Amino acid sequence: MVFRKHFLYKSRCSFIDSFKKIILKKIKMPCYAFTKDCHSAIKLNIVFYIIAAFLFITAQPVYSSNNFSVENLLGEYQQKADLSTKTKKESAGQLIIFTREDLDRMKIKSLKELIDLVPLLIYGENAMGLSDLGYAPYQMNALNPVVVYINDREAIDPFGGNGLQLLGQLDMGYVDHVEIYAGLPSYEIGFDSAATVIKIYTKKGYRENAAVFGSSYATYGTTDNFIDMGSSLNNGWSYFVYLDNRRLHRKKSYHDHHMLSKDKTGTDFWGELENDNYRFEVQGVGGKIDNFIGDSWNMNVKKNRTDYQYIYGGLYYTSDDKDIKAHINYSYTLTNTTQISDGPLGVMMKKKEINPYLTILMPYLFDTEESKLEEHLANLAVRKKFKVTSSDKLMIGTRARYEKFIFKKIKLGNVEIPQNSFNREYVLTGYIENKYSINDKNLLTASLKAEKHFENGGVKNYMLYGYRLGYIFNNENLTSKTFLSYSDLAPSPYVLYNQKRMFPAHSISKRKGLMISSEVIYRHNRSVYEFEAGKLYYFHAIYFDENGYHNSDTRNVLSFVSSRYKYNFDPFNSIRLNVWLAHLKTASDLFKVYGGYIMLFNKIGKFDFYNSLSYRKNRYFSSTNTHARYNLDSTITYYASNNLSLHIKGTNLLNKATKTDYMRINPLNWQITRLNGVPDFDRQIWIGLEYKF
Amino acid sequence: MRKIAAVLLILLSFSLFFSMPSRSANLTLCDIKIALISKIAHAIVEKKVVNVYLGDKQFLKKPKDEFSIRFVKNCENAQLVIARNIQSIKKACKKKFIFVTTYNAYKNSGFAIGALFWQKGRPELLFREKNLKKMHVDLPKSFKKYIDY
Repeated sequence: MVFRKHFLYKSRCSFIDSFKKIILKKIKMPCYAFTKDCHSAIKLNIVFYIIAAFLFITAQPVYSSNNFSVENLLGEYQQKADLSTKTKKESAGQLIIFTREDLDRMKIKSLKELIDLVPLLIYGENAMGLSDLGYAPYQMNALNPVVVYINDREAIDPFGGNGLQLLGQLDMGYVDHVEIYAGLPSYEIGFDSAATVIKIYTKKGYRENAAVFGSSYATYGTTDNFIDMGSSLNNGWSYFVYLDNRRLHRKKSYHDHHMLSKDKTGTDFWGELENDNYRFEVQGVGGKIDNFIGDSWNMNVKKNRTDYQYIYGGLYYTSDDKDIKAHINYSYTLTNTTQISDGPLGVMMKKKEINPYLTILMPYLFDTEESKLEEHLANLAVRKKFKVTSSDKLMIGTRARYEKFIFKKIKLGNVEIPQNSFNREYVLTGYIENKYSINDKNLLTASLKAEKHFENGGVKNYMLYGYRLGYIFNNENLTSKTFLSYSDLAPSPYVLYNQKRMFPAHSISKRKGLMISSEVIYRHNRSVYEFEAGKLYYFHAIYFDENGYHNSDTRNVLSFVSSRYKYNFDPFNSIRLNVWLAHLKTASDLFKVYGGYIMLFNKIGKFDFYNSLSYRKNRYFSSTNTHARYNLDSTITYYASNNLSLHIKGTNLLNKATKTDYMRINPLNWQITRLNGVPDFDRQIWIGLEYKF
Repeated sequence: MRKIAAVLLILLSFSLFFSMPSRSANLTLCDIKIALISKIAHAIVEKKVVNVYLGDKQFLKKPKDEFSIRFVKNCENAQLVIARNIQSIKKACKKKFIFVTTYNAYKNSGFAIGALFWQKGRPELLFREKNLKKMHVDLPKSFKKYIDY
């Protein structure tokens, strides 16, 4: 009641009054509907009040008598001419976009903040402290659901396979906008098998025309400093360069008085030079990562660190007239890992000489581990579109990929391990995609892909196939998309390498995924309603036990529904809502997972506000981590002048965001060590400034 | 708790939907650009209908006579000249109000009275104070914050 009086007292204009009254009616509903005593209901529904408080903030700037003020027109212009509208392809798949403006107002610090706002995904971190969706102790990333592209480059680790692990926590300062495709998108977006595709587009020099310095400081001693510069050149070229140094200090966990750290320190350089046809990209990243628990059997880590260097260069060609795209790129990665544990890290069989005539194999426990891994990755790709008829378009493409991973050193305890003969992979891909417009509202699409993985060192080759069929209806207010897609997935080199090293007798089969999904989007004035449902069948999942990696005989089935709503009050104020639920049925379990979010973007005078509350309940592949989780993020940006802005940002303000449970088993005595409830998102306050030269 | 949250989200969606005034969200990018040109033109030129010469065809590919502006084919008949760079403007038109659409043209030439260009991923509107004074232009109050002193 006090809340209500306060709410009404603050009312200023008749429209806002009536708006609040409507909301207040809704406020009363849960009280009468669920309990007789309204006061006790108030105590119970904290979430509800947070939402109401957000709406109060939102209600203030809603009223505007002049929708065609210069400010509003500039806002509309920014939205409609945003680079995301150029890259967005409605027929490519089920799509979520975070625009440049969204990312700016969120003051996004890493990709994981966005993942927490994507339906069906639950962000987690593995025992190495790296980003991992669907992490389960000892298991491979079971669905390996996400593939990340930076512009047209697939961000993968040649050995580990999944680029998200590192990218999830790296800085995003050079990113313009992000597209997230649920399910396998058109091969135009990416043709690597995935359940979700994240496509990151970098900033363009011709949209920057400024040099910017930024500095932020956050709880636990985190610092982040960057400088970027971009401009158009007179001859049709433009450039963008970005340099960032980040010391990401995370909250520490402790086990048996041993500190477990996920800190990440690094320097990131990004450079881009482009004109209408050509684009050169270079990237250099170097730093160190604390590997959290690592391989320690009892979690008593003394030292666990990886130093890394990453160098990348690429040349991209696009011709809109000829409908051709081609690229060649190369990346080099060097990682040095050292692990020292107050307890075993692993066990191996070591030869022991009993006498000159007798040598026996004895188990050898080691508590130190050193490795040096060098990785090379090169891609050559080309694709061309043909206009078969005025309503029929055909796209044909191919890609050749070379991956090499060389362990320069593996030392377990005092034993040097020889190089594995499996150390490279060639991948050759060919695909074809047809889009047929029945009329201006109805479109059919069909794609087919074949891919061969050539492995060396006695590891068997993999032949992979994929297809995708789709129907899209689109008119002014309504869009519906239905897709059926199938993909084969090869095991990652990491799995093949370890299988060959430890259990060479067993080979692993490819995994298979079949997905059907449908989405309806309805637009009315400034509202957008979206409803999505689908089913993913996943066969031959890879799991690990004491006898190595195996394929599951049974299928996993993921069923999901998701609903989203967006309302743009004006170009500067909007609200977005989402609720989703997913059921994952495995051979032995049924995991019911729920989620959603409420996001608010507001502008009041010289202040920008961003608030989001995301909700997650239960996790895939976990029957114990079943608590409801709430992640409240807020950012306030103050534009002191045209050149200077200050911001304060809070992540996981309620300290109730998703957490991961970790488990280690000593295979010699079956002793289990657990570390439960480690936050995936730290409760952190960031303060920072940006200055434009 | 879950049910409450779900009911609440649905109710909020509908209450917001039905309580908000309906506005035109259907303006195309082209319409918005023309409306912006109109706003700028009428801020500079005190005429009911302003003649505009569009030298930058990349900025607006299909100009339409809307929002009280008329696009003319010859810059000599225009009150406002919109160009990508100063060099592309005829000598006879260089004494007219010149408005540029790139950062470099604005930075490198003192002729332009103002500019609309992209900076840090956002559209930036600026009017050069020196040229406003020189050409005796008094911008409306709502434009004062776009003056580059």
